[in-house]
Amino acid sequence: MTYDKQNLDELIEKLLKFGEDAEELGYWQSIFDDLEPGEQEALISNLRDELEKLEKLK
Amino acid sequence: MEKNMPLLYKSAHILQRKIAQSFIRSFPSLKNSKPCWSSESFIFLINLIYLIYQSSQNITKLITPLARTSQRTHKEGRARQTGGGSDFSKFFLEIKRFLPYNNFIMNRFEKLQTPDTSRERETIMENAVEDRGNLAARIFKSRVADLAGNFIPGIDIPKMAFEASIGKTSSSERLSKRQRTAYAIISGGTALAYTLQLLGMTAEAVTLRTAVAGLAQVEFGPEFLREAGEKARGKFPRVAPILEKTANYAAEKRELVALCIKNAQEKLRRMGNLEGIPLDEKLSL
Repeated sequence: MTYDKQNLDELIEKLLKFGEDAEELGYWQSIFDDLEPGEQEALISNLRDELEKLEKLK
Repeated sequence: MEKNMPLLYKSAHILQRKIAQSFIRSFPSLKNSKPCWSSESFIFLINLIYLIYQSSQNITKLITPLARTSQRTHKEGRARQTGGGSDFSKFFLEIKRFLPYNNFIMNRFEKLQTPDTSRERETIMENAVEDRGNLAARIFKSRVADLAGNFIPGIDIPKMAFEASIGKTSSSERLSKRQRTAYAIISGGTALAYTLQLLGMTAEAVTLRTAVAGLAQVEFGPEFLREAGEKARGKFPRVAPILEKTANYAAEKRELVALCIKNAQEKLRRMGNLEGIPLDEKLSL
């Protein structure tokens, strides 16, 4: 199963609003399509988890 | 002093003068300062005491029953003179009404009472970025293992190259979690580039000492990563794009690239001097 790039883009856009590092996230965005599905899943899960925690903090 | 001034305010006013006088006695240099100095300081002090009191209301609630017990034993206690209730809170409420800086200090204090979310936010981000650093290390390790396993089986040099360059810094180099993640990405790319460089060597050259000597001479850096990626494009489609994108990322972080190359090559040289010792032992040295 491959992950939707749009999903990643949305997550990253939201995280950037919280002040995340644009350069680092831009790197992950650029290599996303070159990752294995398991790696994509790990990345999406990491970003989603971070976003959820930051949103709870608001 | 006005006659209709509330009793507590009168007391505060007298107390203020006494404290101001003692301040001036203690610090003669203040005699020449503005006359309002002592007054403002006192008001500020009382405000702070009041705010500290407010912040410890929960403690007061616990103490109140004890205070009431104490009041019962003193028939003409101060609390009764001011109409009963908590003597302490009435005093401060009275003071609060007359204090000109109260709003300013209250606002400052409310800000202090609001949980500091910025530190918590930073911690969440740092933990997440650290996890991404570990993910980067796993990704590059798997790519290096693929190359090594498929093209130069049985030779532990790619593993050595990877271990030498991936995320290892000497104890004197203190990197933040964010820097460590950037370092893991750059060193992962460097490890891939090392491995590709090794693939270009002749079988005879792929002995530990020769390989180390060869790698030490190569000028690694973002340009080398990019070149390695371009060369790998046809032959190694799984690693080439990552290598090229890592080169772009590394181009903006020259200091970390230099640190990564220095650490990797130092470790490789140390390992090169230990030929004949099993790799696992070398890596632990």
